[in-house]
Amino acid sequence: MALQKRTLNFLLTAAAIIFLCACTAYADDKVDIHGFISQGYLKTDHNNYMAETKDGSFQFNELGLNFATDLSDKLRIGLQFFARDLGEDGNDDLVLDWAFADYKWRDFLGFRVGRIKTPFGYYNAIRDFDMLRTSIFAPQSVYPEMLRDAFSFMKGVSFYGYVSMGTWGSISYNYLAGLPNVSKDTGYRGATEDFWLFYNLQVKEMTVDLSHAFDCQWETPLPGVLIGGTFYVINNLYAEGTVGGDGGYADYKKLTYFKKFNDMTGYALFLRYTMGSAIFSNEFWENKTETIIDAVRTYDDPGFLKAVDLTNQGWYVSLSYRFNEIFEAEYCYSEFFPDKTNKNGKGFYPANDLGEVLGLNGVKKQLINEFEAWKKTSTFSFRFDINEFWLFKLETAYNDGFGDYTSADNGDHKNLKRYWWLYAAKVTYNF
Amino acid sequence: MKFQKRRLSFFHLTAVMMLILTAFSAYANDIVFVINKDVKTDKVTREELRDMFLGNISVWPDQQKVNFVTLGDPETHKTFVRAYIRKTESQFQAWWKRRLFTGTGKVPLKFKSEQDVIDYVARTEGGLGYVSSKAAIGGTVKILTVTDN
Repeated sequence: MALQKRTLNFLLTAAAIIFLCACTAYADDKVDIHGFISQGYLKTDHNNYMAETKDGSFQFNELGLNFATDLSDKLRIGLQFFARDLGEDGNDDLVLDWAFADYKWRDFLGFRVGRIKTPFGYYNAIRDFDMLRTSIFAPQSVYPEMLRDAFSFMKGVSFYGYVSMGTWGSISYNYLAGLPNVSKDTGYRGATEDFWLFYNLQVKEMTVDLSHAFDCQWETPLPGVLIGGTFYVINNLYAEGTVGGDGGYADYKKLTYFKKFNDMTGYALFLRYTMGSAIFSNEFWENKTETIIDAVRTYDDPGFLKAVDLTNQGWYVSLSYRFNEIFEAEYCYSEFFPDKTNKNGKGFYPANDLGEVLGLNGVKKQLINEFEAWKKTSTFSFRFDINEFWLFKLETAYNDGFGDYTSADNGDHKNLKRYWWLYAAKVTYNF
Repeated sequence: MKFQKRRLSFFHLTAVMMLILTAFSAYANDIVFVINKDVKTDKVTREELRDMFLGNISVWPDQQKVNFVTLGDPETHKTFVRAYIRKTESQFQAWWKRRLFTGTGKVPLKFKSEQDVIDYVARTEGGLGYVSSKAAIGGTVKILTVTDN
């Protein structure tokens, strides 16, 4: 039933967009109209990942359509509609992916106001656009699905520019301040519930405060070498919801309600070396989340306050090569650690005052499976550009570990397997 | 003997480099850049030209907007992107699609024939295009000189 509703949503969205496209095309030929539509298939031999993939899943598609026009030599406006489905996330609901006015005062300084793609690392701003990379998935070690919605755009203002430095190469920068895409209707909800599976959290509310991202890329004097970095701060990422009811830990502690306040800071650094048709790329990412949890017992019992600091860490190296106009291949190796202080799953809580109160000092960190402390992945991707508009991709990834947050249903995680394969195929049309 | 061997290697390397550079220059010289007659510039550096076609430089020194177009002819276009943009054709396309789908730019216009490029440049303020050295350029546009520095 749910699947039928999603299919209907997707078809209605597609029809609405095609109709809008046709109307606008007739209305004014000065409006640029471009778009894409893709359909994929996912299959794993063990473990559900992103969707119900053990049985194979077609709940993996994207659709986008953008309209833009120059109002003057310096002022441009545009917007993009976007819909996606990936397992429990997206469900083909139509959203505004970006919509902003862009005033380029000089090449070294421009301003954007509206809903703006968040600059983060090399791939974040383009992760929804399949035609812009060799692989089907952007490396999950640096671009986890958990943060996809939260990092997709911010509503706010940005300053950007490009500065040529002569023999020192050139620098482009982008600073963005605004509200990230966080609410209980976004994919971040599912990932949060998965993270707090231990409490059986059911999120009822999610909000966020003003946040910042600064991105800088340096095209070095060494031909083909691009170095870049992003620093971001996401303030007061708040979630609340019910816990317990499953006979688990929360029930044991008689907890019924849960509030958490996160401050998230992080950075990503990348280096890309392009030599003809070959591109070597690597990227490193760390994301620190400072969390205060307020878990409430019944009858106004104050429960307890618990502070948790967690740092995610991920990196990858990849090499892609375009053999001819049609065929491109890529190999990527990546590692992701949900908790960088517990990379082997055998870590203990460090001794501190809070641990003393909570009785956690020296206690082994609780993971249902030790291999949920890491995910090490080798990915082979093959891209076929059938023509300028159509492309087809195949991908296979061998995974060691399940250190990832996914809204896909894996029950209580006791049946997860350490070693597993992911197979993916995707076809995309863009114009 | 050791010295001779080193000198031999050095001369070999230099000769190979010279051959590559000569071949590269010949490759690059097959392209002629044309601009609108009202643009008050006759000369740009190779880096400036690259920045214009990548959208990093959006105005001419006289503050007219750079309105550049690309050529659909695959051979001339491939020569252009390799020699002047230092990208492959697919990388050049990806560069502009990245801008397009993030809302930060629009894909450059592409014309099928060299005459179409010349006509567009002739009638468009700040127009910039390229054609092969064999094209009949005529007097409606002027030629832009590209220098190394």
